[in-house]
Amino acid sequence: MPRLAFPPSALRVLTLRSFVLWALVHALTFVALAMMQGADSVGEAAMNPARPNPLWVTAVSTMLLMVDVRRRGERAMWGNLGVSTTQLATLAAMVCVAGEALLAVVLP
Amino acid sequence: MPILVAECVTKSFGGNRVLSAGSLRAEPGQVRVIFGRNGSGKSTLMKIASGWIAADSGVVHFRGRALLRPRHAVLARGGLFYLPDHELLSNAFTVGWQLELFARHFGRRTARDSAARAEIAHLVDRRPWQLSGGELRRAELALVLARGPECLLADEPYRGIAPADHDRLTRIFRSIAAEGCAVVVTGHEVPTLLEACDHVTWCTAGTTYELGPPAVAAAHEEFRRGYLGMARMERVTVDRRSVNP
Repeated sequence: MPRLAFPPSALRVLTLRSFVLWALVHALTFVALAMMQGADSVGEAAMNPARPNPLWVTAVSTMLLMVDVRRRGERAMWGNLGVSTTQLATLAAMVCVAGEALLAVVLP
Repeated sequence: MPILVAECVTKSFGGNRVLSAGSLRAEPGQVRVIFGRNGSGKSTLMKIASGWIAADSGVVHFRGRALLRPRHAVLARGGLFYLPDHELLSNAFTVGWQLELFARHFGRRTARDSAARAEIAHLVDRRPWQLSGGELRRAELALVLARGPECLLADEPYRGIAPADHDRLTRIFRSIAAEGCAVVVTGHEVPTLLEACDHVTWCTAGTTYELGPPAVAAAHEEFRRGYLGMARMERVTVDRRSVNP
């Protein structure tokens, strides 16, 4: 049987981390946008129709995951498992795209 | 036949040329050591050979295939393991979890067996930041055992650990080599490394010299003068004689 590029437990960990980062970036960007447009409270910000640019959120979240991996000193560990930085970035981007797609469906 | 060869490697950082003609060979079943002063380029050579950083020029042959731009993850999938001088294990997970990760993915050896062979069975529930320097090095070697690589490049594995732990590390390196793995290590712990290795390479002035077996290297006049210093070399000779009368 061919060996998967990502060990399943590594996939779970990295997917979860990517999702948390994406959610944080999305939420913070959303609030920042609303504040810039004059919202005075979080409640008012939630009603703001302005949405963060999905491309921007995806790019920033992906970059943050790469920084996070480097900051934790995990490059060698993932590399020795056969997981390249390109694969890590692709995984993070895929999680962000999935999240953005889900939001586009759920939110009006 | 060597499993990994880096040939005619050059590398500069800014305007500083670190390597002008560096070479590295990894032979199955052998422990090879690269000696060299700080800044001589031995770690850089190892990083290039493992695909960790790119060379300015030169070629890396892995399993007989010539690679102009080797990638670490690709070489790792093919059986190479690069042990950096720091930061192999993640502080976010326990040692046991990381051993399981490698053991399950590569299926060479169980995590429990790897931990036992590296004498860290009692430490698997701890996180790396909770370990001492010697324990951390053994935990990293347990990860190597769990991976079961065919080529291991270890950058200064003996640095900063107590002499009592040197023997443990040497035993693990020798046992890995005895299973057919090609092991290359760097370091400055001359007596320990001369005891542990089968072959000595000297990295100096941007190039490398294959000195041969430890006994030949220890008698090499230029190496004695340029790296060891004569007084130090006399101590090493006495130490080796006391270990191998």
